[in-house]
Amino acid sequence: MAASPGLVPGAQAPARPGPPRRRVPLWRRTVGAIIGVALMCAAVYVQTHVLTVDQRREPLTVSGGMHQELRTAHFSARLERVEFAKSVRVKKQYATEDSTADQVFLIAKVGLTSPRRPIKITAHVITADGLRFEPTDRVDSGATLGDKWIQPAWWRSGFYFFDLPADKVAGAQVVVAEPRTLFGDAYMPEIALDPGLDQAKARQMVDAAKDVYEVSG
Amino acid sequence: MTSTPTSGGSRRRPVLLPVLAALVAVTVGVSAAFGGLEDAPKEKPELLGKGAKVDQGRMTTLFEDAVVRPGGEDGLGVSGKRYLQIIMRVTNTSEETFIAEMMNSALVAVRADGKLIKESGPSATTIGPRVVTISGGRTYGQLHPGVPATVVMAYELPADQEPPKTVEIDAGAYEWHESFIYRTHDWLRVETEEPLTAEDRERGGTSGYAPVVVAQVDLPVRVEEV
Amino acid sequence: MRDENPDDTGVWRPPAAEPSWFTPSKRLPRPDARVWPPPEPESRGSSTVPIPVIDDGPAPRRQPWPPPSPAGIPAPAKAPYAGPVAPPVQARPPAQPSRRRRRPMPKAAKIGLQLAGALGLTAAFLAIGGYDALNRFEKSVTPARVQRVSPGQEAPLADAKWRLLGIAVIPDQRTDLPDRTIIQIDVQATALNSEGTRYSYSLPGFYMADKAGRTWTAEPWKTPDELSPGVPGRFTLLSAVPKELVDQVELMLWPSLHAGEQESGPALRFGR
Repeated sequence: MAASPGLVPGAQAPARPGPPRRRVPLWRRTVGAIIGVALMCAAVYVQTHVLTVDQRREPLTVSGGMHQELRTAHFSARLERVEFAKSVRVKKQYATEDSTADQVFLIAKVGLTSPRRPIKITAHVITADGLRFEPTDRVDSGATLGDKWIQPAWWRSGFYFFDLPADKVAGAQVVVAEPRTLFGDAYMPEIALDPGLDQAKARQMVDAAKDVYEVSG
Repeated sequence: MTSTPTSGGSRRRPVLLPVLAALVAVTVGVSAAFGGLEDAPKEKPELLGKGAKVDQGRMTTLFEDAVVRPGGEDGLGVSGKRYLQIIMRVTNTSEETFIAEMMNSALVAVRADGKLIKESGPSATTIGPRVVTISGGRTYGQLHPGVPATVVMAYELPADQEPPKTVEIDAGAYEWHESFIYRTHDWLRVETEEPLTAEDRERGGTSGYAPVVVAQVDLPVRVEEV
Repeated sequence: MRDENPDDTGVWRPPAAEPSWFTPSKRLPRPDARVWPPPEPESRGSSTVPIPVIDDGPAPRRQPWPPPSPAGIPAPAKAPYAGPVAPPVQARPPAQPSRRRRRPMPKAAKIGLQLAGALGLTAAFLAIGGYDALNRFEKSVTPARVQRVSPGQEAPLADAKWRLLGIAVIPDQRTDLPDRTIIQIDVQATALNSEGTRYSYSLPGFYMADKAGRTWTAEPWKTPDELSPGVPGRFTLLSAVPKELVDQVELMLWPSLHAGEQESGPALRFGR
């Protein structure tokens, strides 16, 4: 590549006649700047809604109240009844088994069905302050719905038992979902069933808790 | 662009090198004066006694008692055998129910009269004890968030063995740990890097990690007869 | 400029080798131009100006330099070059647009094109992500390969041959569940090798399926105590199915309980 003689500037280069530039009016430039700043702000704002990795691993929740039939792709659920008891008596074929609550038993009667294939569904309680209570192991799991096959074409009703402090009852929700597995799929569905217990109703129901609640196991 | 480079000018005196050399010398001298580059001595765990309350991150543990009693009571153990029971009042301070067996790893090591009867980690040689919650004379296995529960850790004593006088418990800790790769959170036991001991290598251990002991609790052992 | 060698004569030396990542050059050598003594006054024809003057509009970038022509006239039909000999204003009146310049695209078309490009790229990004996720999922959970078995036939699946012996409604139905019927299914298994004898204790996944793809559990009621290669064993299963589907449901067989739960891998479907 040879040096072009053009690189040597001529001492008397003619003044370049500026091409007639279109001038953008001031108001348009202002509007453009405002739109640009607004877009930037919007982009920053949208970033605050980006889910964390923990949130992305959470299941997809369908929520509803008492007696409402809630549907997901894997199962459907409805909350049929919520009661409280100090102890539960499980009547089996040859024996009965009594269990006493450490705090108070929340007994959720839930109906479940599946659209396509047999599955098992577990439950947990999420309290108003975000604590997660697994079903109590004081009541034999054979008396709960967690052990049963949920199958297509018909509803199956059953109980889940939780041992909750009385002051955590208000605002608590019963959540049903497929059991968590270590390397399970993402975006599994869950259904949050809200019994609609406000402070007054919760206190009234806990105070009226049955001494013994009988179920067959 | 095409002008001749301005030659001459004021050449900077070489100041940087001497200054750097002086800095290096000072750094080396100061670190040598303070004992050289060595790990600071580890913090000694707190030494606590009966009734001590220890914050273990995921739970707070009140060490209530250590007792040797025959089995069969409270639905724990078999009658005719004796068990060393460490009795604790544990409150789950996390947001989720966990099982009582978690206390097995939360208490890093247990020594009876100085002899290790429980260790944890990949190279543990002893089988863990039975850990249960006790309520109303029955054993269960759950600790619900925010609800204190009595947890009993039970070791079977061989028939011919004298009950120990004291037990020493090394309490570890859990932390809400963020995974470096996946950015997910989980409760993990706090551990530090430790050089591999010859014993570890013999066993084929490769990880030089050991659980951190936040408190060491000494409990005198009571003996309850039948 | 300060660190430039004052002894440099300004003569450009070619680099010893092409500069690359392992022979980094301090700066890229560039051809120098003689600046001193000043160049001989050249004829006007062979001199150029550093920047060619271009008529209105944005200057096209990387305009090739016009080759110097001895006649002093720029090469025709090249860049809109204008030397001092031919001032641009006279050579190209601004009113007359260049033949080489394309007519500017209408604004609406331009925005539309950009939007379409953005949408296309987004769609491609999502599609590639989805394809990758599906690929990885199918690597861990192989898709179901269901083989239909005609009535009365025997078919091999995972170390054993299987035959559906019959499906019957059991006589003592529960009266409290009027919408479903309990059926009894008899299956015969013949182990093909010693591996196949595991089915006496490690049960395969039995399901009843209807035409819509819904499935119900079929729980083993009686299983053979032990299986030996070549000797048929009999499984008796019970299943609760909707009353109206009793004559339609077909037995599906997966080689393990896990495969049945996942509905992955090879399977048999026995026609009725």
